[in-house]
Amino acid sequence: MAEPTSTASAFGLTAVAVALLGPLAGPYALIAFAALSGAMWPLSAAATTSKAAGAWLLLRCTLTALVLTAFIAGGFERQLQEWFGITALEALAPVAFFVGALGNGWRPVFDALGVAIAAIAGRVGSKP
Amino acid sequence: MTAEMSASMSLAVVAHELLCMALFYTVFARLVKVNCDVKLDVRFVFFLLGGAALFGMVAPFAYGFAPTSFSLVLLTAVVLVQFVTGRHWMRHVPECFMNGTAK
Repeated sequence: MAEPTSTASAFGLTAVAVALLGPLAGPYALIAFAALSGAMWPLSAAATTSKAAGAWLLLRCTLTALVLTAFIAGGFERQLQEWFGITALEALAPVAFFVGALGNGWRPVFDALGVAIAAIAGRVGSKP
Repeated sequence: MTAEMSASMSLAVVAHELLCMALFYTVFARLVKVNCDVKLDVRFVFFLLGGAALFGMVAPFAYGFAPTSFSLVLLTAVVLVQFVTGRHWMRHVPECFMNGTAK
């Protein structure tokens, strides 16, 4: 039987680790979980045939949300700070949530962007 | 005394995390079967429940949330409801949740 002091010290170390690392990981974990929460809406609308297919859809939508949110944060960080007095990290969770909730809805947007870029490239290339 | 309090709080956080993960899994298992033919309010409340489970997972680390006895009991009860009612979701979504059926 383990001595009470060794068990207590193990739990104490765990509590210290959570106290030290938790606040560091907290904001980023919040953003990731917000993206995952939003991604559950497209999952509820999609006709998935298995848990693996559902998990893959969740992962795709979450990762898309995280990437797009990082772009948005990078592009508007200064404006968020100046106009609203909030840091990009604080604003990212709701953004990640809504981007995740859009799910596969970004595909038509990217397709349209691709067509527009191809059209512009074609015009630039055809000019003498 | 401080070490004991830290130990009990860590145990409460671990229990809270496990319960939130279990709750998220039950919601995920249902949402896999759900599609656009299911009533919008049913889809929405399960979406909210899943979001609450995920929020619960991150709350101790992002906001310093300390689980209480009541929060643990309530979470356990909700998880148990999900598991017990899961038998009605084994093959497909319950008919009464589908569009075109009476409320």
